[in-house]
Amino acid sequence: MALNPDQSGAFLANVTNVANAGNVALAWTARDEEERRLIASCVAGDAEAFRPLVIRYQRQAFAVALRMLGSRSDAEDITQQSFIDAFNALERFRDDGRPRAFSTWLLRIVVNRSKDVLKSKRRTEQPLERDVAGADAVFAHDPSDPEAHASGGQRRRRLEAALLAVPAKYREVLVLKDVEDLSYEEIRAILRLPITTLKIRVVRARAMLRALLEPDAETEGELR
Amino acid sequence: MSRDQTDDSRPSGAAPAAPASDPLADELRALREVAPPASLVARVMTQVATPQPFSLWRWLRRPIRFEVRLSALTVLATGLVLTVGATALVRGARSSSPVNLAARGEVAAPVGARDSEAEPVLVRFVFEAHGARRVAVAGSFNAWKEQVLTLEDGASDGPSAGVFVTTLAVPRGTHEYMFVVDGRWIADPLATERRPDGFGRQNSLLRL
Repeated sequence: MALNPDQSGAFLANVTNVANAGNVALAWTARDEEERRLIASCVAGDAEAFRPLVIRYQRQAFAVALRMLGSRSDAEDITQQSFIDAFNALERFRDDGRPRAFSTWLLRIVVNRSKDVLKSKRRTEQPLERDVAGADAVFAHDPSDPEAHASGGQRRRRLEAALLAVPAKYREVLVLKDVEDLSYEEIRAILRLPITTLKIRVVRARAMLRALLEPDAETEGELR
Repeated sequence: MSRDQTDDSRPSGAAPAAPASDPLADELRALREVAPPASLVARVMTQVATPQPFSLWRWLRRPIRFEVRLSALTVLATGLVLTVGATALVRGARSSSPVNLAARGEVAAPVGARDSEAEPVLVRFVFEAHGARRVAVAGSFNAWKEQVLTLEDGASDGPSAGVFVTTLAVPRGTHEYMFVVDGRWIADPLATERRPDGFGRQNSLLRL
């Protein structure tokens, strides 16, 4: 996607505004404390203590993998393997007093494994099996109006397709920031990138997504 | 999509502070609502409950955890002990230096004795032989190699006439020696002790 100079200028201005926004440090919560205890129990040999963590983060881990890969079966495999990897590496896990250390660590594993799959599929030149809009997808809203449902479903499928068309390095920040609603601090912990870089990528990723959706919007308008 | 300009510290999953006006932002947020496979938890737990085969590499990489809990009083006491210990060590190191030892008579004495035992002693060999052309000394201290003595300067009829001298560094211990005067082996006439050389003659004895 080509971006004209005016758009680039606008991006930079937005980034400056975002950078000026305060980044308040996340607070250590009772949930972090509970996760620390669960992890300590796991390390001590109580594998069952891992269950609450899997239940707590299965949705988020699966959603990130699904939005990164576009394939439900791949996302299931990646999510399962990421949890197992995390469990096997719990002895080396250090929260260092960081809030939400476990979830960001787990999501880093998910993102990295997802990227590995993307690279592997690109290398073998196999087209991704993108079935996110299939029958298994569960929608957020279930409007009672069938027409609105159909229209909403179509719009959602277009959005999912557009998201998958965004390059992976932009898609990952878009998924973490706009889909999963994580803070920049959390995304930095997951991707290990400077916050300024993340903000630039988010702005660009949004522009890419809008550009990808624009023709659809025009078509939609003409149809109406 | 102006959410990131309002509050970056909000915990993930919490409700936005202000309603987002951008429909695209809402739609993107709606994409998070997916249902993970119902069997995911069971599959993961089955896997993690299965004991893994022993791996030496994994065992070697296994971190060793230990926890130290200290009260403020313990920290202060430990700091005090360490400070006193370090001071004592520094003082000890200074007092044990050679310069200081030398300055202290009671310590310097044994050190000096030990050093002098190891060092050779300068011994002046003197042999009076009027008319002799060459005088040398040989002994156990120089593997019986002849060491030539020098004729002292002086009037032919003075007190030092015909006196050959040399000064050698001789290791401490008991040594046997002889003078060699113009090729003839002669025991030191001034030696206080002598010892048979096994060939019918006697060597002079030098105790240092």
